[in-house]
Amino acid sequence: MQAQKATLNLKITDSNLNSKSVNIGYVNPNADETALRTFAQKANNLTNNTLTAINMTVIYDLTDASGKEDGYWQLSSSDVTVQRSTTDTSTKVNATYITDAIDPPTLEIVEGGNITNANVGLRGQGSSWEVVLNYGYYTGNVKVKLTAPESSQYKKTSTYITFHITE
Amino acid sequence: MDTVTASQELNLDWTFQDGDTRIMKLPNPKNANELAPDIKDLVAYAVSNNILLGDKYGADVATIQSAYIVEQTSTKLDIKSNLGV
Repeated sequence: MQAQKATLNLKITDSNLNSKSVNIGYVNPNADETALRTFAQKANNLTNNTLTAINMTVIYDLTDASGKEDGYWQLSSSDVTVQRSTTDTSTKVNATYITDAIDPPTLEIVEGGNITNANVGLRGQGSSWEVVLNYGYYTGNVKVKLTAPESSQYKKTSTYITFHITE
Repeated sequence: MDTVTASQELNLDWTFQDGDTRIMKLPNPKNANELAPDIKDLVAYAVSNNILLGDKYGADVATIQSAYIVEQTSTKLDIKSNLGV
């Protein structure tokens, strides 16, 4: 589910009349606005600050249930057709994970191919990877799934690449 | 001469029904002795009005697990004097 969340900021004035904003965290955007304002005032009652304004910011579509923001894959192509030849037995797709990655992604064949006549591998580091398909004598379709690493601070996003190897 | 400033921050450790927590930080808190009634009031209001969910969909706020004041000290170094310039 795409989430919507609100950030509640209090603009407060200190005893020297300096103003600053205090972020008191994410709040339920579905809560009644009057209730949010009352909540902010009650939070401010815990301080010696003079409350001068309550700002509410709604941020759209940033988190999933895990609290992680969206990441996504950028591919040079998600659908590649290659004619098998005797001189070239592999092809590749460039894949970049936006916006961060430290560990390698995981890669699996989800359709077609097998370990003896077609296999896929990864080359690269960080966010930039090459998905290399060694098709050898294989003809047919190979669909692979590329998934961002768990260690990413962003969502564990998957993408698919389909290779068509023709005679 | 170095300038030392001290400030305080009230940390409220909200806990949710699934055991997860989120910390709310408020600068310049009241005296610790005066806080308890207002914290109880804040919790009661948040629970009854379903306030503090944020990214915690599917788990309502339960209570404030702990509240504590963090003392913060910062030192602005007098670089000219320290370096003898």
